[in-house]
Amino acid sequence: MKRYRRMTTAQLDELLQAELRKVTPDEEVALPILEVLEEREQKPRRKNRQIIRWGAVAAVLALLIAVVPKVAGTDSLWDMVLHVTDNFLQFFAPGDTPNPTEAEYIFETDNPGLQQLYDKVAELGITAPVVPMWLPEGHELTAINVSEFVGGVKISASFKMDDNEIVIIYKISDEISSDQYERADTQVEIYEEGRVKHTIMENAEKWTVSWVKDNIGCLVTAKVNKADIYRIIQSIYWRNEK
Amino acid sequence: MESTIGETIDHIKFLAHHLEKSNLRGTAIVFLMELKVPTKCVGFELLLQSILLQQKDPTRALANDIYLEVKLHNRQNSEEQVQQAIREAIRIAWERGSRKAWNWYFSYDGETITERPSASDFISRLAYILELWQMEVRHEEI
Repeated sequence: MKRYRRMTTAQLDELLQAELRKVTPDEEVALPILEVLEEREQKPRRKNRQIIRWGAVAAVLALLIAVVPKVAGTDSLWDMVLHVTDNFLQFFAPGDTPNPTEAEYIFETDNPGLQQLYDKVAELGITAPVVPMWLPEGHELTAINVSEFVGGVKISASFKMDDNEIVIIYKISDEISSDQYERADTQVEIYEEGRVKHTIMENAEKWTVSWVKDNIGCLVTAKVNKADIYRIIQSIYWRNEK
Repeated sequence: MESTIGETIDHIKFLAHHLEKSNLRGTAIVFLMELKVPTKCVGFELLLQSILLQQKDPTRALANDIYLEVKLHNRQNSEEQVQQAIREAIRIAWERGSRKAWNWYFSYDGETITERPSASDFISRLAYILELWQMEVRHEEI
């Protein structure tokens, strides 16, 4: 089931349709795929319900702030909150709320080379999703390098399968800005995934993807088909069950 | 769990969106799988063929017509054998089945289904749902 959740909807559709073309389709393939597709269809509805719920909570809070202090005989809700919290051991401050997006991110991959790359990146204190969890089958890590440059650190990794090579480079520096990774070239495609804009270019059957996440400039070059390049990008933001 | 007509239609639209438009047989297979009709039992294929034949021509009778054709196509000894195999497949599906799926396909007027449908109701209902699916697919293509 997990492997189906990692696939795009288009891939699941293709797999399902291929299965159903067989003389005797396997329900153990078809039904889990349908289940995953249904989950994805229901997610936007859940998000809408969440928005309505939070909207209702905000409305109630606004009412409380306006009305309750007057009823309690004070001018300020904050005076009331401070008085109440004396009696509690903990006060949950908004700033303590973990970012739900980052909290759900767990790196998990079948490619040992990607795991090594992730470990190297993590050693530098980077916890944001930048490392892909998937590469086309057969690509193995052949080299990984960490070097310093003026103002930052660079990590580069090379994955090879026969004559094909995928290179992944991260430049970590406070001087990194999205400007450095923009191209004036009109042939670029901007692909948004995980709320990050990725610049995709093709040159001589080789794809180059670049983006900036926080203070990290990221670059992937690969001689793969276009569907694979999208999948590599998408896999950076896969969410895994805890 | 109560179903609504809306949920049945939503489910048909969902299937229209994800299943191959020209593969009627594949779609009918999905219906049977979701209802937990055992795929390996003889009745599965007989049910499938009956549904497809009924969908193609809803005016055809099951007995002495559709069952006869299915019997000949599958080298069954008699129409009675065909009916028995189909009833058995439906019985097993009802016992192991998902109430949610049964409500999608067999709920009339939004009421939760409580009684197992007869073989003829089962076949004609799924043939009808298959027809709705085909209409939805054509609607998507426009």
